[in-house]
Amino acid sequence: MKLRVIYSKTGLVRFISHRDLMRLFFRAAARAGIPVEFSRGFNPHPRIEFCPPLSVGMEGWNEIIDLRLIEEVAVAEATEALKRELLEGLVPKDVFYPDPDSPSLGKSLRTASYRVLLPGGVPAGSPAAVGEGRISVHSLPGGLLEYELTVPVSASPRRVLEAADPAAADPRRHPFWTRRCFSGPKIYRRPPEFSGGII
Amino acid sequence: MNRIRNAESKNPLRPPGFKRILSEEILPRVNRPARYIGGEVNSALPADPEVRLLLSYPDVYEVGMSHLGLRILYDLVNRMGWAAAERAFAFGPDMEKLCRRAGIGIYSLETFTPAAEFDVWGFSLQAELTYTNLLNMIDLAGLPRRARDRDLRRHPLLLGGGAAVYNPEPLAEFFDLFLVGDAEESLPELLSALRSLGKERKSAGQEKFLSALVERVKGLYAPALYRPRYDRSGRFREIVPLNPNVPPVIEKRVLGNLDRSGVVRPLVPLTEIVHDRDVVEIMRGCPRRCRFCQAGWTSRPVRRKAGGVVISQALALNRASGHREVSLLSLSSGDWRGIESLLEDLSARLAPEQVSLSLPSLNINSFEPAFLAGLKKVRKSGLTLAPEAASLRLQKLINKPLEVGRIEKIVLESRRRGWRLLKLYFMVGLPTETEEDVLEIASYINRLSRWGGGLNVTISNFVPKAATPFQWADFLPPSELDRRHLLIKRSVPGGKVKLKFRQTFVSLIEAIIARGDRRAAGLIEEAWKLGCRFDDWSEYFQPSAWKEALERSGIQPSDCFSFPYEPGDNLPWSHIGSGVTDKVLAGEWGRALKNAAGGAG
Repeated sequence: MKLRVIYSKTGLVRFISHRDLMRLFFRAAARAGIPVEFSRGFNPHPRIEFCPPLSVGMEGWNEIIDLRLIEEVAVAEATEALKRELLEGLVPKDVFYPDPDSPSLGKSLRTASYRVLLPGGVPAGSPAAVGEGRISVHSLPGGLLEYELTVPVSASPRRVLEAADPAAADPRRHPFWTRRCFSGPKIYRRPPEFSGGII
Repeated sequence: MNRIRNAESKNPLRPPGFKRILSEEILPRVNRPARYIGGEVNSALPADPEVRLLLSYPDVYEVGMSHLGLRILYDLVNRMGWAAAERAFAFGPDMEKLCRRAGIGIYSLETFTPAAEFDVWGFSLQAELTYTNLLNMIDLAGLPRRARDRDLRRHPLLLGGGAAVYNPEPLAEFFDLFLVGDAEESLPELLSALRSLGKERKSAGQEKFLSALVERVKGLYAPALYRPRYDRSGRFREIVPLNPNVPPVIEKRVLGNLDRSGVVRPLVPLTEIVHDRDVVEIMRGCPRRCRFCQAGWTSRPVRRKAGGVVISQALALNRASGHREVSLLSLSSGDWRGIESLLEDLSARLAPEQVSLSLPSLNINSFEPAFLAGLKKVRKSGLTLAPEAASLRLQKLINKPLEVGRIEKIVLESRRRGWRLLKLYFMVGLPTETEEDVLEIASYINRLSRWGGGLNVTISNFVPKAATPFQWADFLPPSELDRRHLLIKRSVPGGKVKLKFRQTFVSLIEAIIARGDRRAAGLIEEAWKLGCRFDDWSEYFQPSAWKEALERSGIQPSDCFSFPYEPGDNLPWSHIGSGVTDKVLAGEWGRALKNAAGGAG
């Protein structure tokens, strides 16, 4: 059976790479006593499915991980144990058993939406379709520009932003990226909350 | 907390918004930023410590976090209650560049406190080629590099410990104190002396303060309280205490009972480190007497951790970390009496949790093919064996004779059990080595190349080390070592065997520093000024800068090629008591040469 954890990754832990995060999650589950199943074969590995990798340095507010378990555990206890064992900045927001017949994460995720914050620059525009994605810009108080992007999970959000506004994607301007959430059937149990922020 | 906030306003190395600049402008632009963020599981600290210690390893996070000694001390200090240990590792070249530009110095990973604000800054010293990193870290902390230019009333006390203290002299100008030997007891004693001498630190003169520490804690060497003497030709004569209260020879500290050492709350690294697993030390000291091996000679006597303690420590450690691999560590694990049943026991308890067991250091003579059965759960990536010498004559010289056919037996058994890669280590440049000895390495490799799997061979260069029977040996000039490398290269057909050679000029630098006296500080400092960093990493080692540094510092490599001291002479490290007397070492050195002269029989 599959246990789904919706979590946020904010603050300094956003500098942990996807590869390292997989290892950290597995170790946290081991310490939390959550019985993750192992693949068979020469070199068994834990059966954990992640949503597509978040680039190093990007925050995520509603990231997803599915743990395949050997036996059912109580959701409340698993949540508490994960809260205790994960790092500061990695917070389980919702833990649940998805419908047994729901497709794997790889098959259900359609699009991902991102927010990019930039100091100052061009004024707000209206939403537009760029290549595979949709993008809109508006000003925030404090001289910040906020870009909102929705792109298919297979596409690179950086490339979509670059196509719309090359200056905005320039790393030297220190754009601050957040992945807000994913869309697709039966991914979340309840509407994703948008929270997190710059530290 | 208050202390940290106050510090924020007045320290120039912590500009306002230090953490914001770090996280928004610097970390997004460096390699592996997880090295620099801290916050690992089990990194919580005691509140309001009376003494704050910063522990460092002069290399990057992945290397430093793999060092067991540092992790033992970190855990030990943080369980004391009134003292706290934090960590800082070397900045990678990209991080250094951006941080220097932003005015950000070395900071602790726990509380982001600048290194300069700690009471003590301890460095684990394991390898000569990390010394430029060490100077770089001191400089990046905004501290004067030389101890005499610092002020102990407001600067941290710089403390060195670890394998390299058996010749501390090349670093003597940079450090305030060295801790010789096992630190499990002496480090807490030092912290407690600092706790009670807080007032004296502020008021007494530096030398008085240092001698007060030395009088309270055995095993401490304060270089400022000793002076080296040289003769007119510049030859080193002796080191004399400047003060009757300090010992002429600093004897190393020895932890009597190894059962009392071990990590309780393991840090769980944020990024994959070099040795990414739980490590339990099962034995300290080595019963073998390989004459080139500094670790073996300086870590005596042999102390064995009890089997029950090993098992309970391993299981507790693994529960607290969630790692998938537990490794049992010592200099020669096959010599731990009953290792086979220990492996069997532990592996049976770990296997249901999908945790594997590994045993990295096995002397070939104590390696029973049956061990391979106990290790069957390990991923069978590679089996490492270090014959070091191939000819029987040189095996006798180094006192590492191999039973004939033993390696072959191990290799056959490991192939049968599914190992695919064999790694072999040899050395060239040993005392009395001839062309025939070198060619025997090649034929050895060729013989083993047909074992049925991959074969990686590393050829390193013999570097004489302090406190070993070979401390009087000559180091061969790099050109001669290169010639011997070539002999091997020509005789081993490419393809199946991957041959790797240690750069010979790197070994020369290592050799110069390993037996240098206090004047070697100039070499290290000049190399650092010329931009040398991470000299142990072949992609960063800069031969031309080191050549320039040799010239500027006036250090003569020829002293290495023909070592100017004989048994009986004072050596630059004779004031450090390694536990084995020079008389014993000289006896071994004499026997080695006699063994080697005895012919090939």
